[in-house]
Amino acid sequence: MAILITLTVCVFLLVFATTLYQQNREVRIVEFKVKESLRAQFLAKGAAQMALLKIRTLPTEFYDAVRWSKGWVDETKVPLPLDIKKFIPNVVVNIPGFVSNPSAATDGTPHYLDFYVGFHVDNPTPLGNVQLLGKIIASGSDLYYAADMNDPTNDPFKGDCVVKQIRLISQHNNNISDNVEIVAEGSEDSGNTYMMNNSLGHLKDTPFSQYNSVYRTMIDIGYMVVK
Amino acid sequence: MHFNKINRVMGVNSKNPSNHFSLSLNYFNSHRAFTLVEIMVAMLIMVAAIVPVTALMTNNAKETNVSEAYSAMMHQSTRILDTLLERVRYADIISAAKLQGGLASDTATTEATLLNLLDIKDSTNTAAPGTAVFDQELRYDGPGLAAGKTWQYAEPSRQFEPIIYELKIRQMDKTFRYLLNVGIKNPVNAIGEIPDFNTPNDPPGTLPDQKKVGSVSLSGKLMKITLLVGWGTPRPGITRKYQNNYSLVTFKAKLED
Repeated sequence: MAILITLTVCVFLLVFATTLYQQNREVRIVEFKVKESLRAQFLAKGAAQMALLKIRTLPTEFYDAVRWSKGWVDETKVPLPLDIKKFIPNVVVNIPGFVSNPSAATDGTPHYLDFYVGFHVDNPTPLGNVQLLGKIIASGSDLYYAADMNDPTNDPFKGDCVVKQIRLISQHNNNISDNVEIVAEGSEDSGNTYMMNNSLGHLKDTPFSQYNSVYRTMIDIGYMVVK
Repeated sequence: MHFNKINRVMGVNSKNPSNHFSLSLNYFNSHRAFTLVEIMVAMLIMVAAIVPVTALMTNNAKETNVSEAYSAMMHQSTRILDTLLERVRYADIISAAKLQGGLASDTATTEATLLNLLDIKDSTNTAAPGTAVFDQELRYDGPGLAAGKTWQYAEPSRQFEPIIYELKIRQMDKTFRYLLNVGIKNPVNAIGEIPDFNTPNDPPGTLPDQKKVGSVSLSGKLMKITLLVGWGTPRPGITRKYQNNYSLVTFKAKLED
């Protein structure tokens, strides 16, 4: 009888221990994922800094890119009645000879802002993590960077970041209070497949040691583009 | 109340076989005791069960401690890097790197290590020149190197085993490309018209994807920032400097001038 009572107590202990172990494991996994996402987030923030630097360096080209992506209108030559809103055509600018490598079906019709962002494919076999939302990252693009933190004593990881979009979302006539929206994405791969816990298969074909993070910010660039 | 009396009240002696409660009482009433062997075996089973559970609970407490430290690392790292990206001037980081990290010049692309984050001074603070950006956040009063550390999130028993922050910076040369704005366009005057422009004279042999493309090279305008975080005395046999390590990478651009 004493053994029976003891075994009963042991069963309760087993349930307790199992619960404890399970909770402990879940906390560790969640913490790991937060850690990974934080890395991806800061890579994305770094890419946004690159975008700001390009705008700071090439403000005229940035505004050209915006205007060309919308379609060029010289408002001084708009015929009467003056209604500028009618003359912002949504055209695709065709630039003969400007093609991607390898060539693609859309060759000849990339628009300026895409080029400015550096989102065209110019390397068919990029290094590092290669996909952001199903689109190939161009490793040679201006606003792309591959970070390789390979010091084994400091929790190594591979990562990269790319600026996905720059939008001029408001514009003042004299460029004093222009705002841009920058969308950047960072991805991180620590190589730890165990902690990413893909047992449910919810990550499907994505390399399941990879974590992505999108960073979106809106910044007043007026002070940067007025010289 | 005596068990016999209880049994009578509960109907143990009745013909109802389903009365388990009464049967259990009847068992105690049989004056049968646990044998010594039973007790010994039960104790062994109990010990075998309790030891791993105790070990698990101890491990859980340690893991909780490490988790708290990691949370503190992540929290503080976020604050440090966000501050560096959004509130600190590029030139102030370079000044600290020249002072502490041995950076040769403002545009040098060698890697510099900042062990003491308090060396980053806020040059915009004209009221109190030389004030450290992270003065309050990384203050540390314990023994050893009194810089680049924080203990405010560590548990009290580990307050003299602080979380250590190191900053590595490396400036990168960067080339930005752009489409040449030459032979400015014939403007569109109606919806649907496509703007036109002259073709620039690309040099012979220019690759197709480089036509009409200009470039500008920058030096000393972009830095890669690596924040290294360490915490905890290494366990025996581990050669790392700290037991737990963490690193973050980001970039900062020089936008202020």
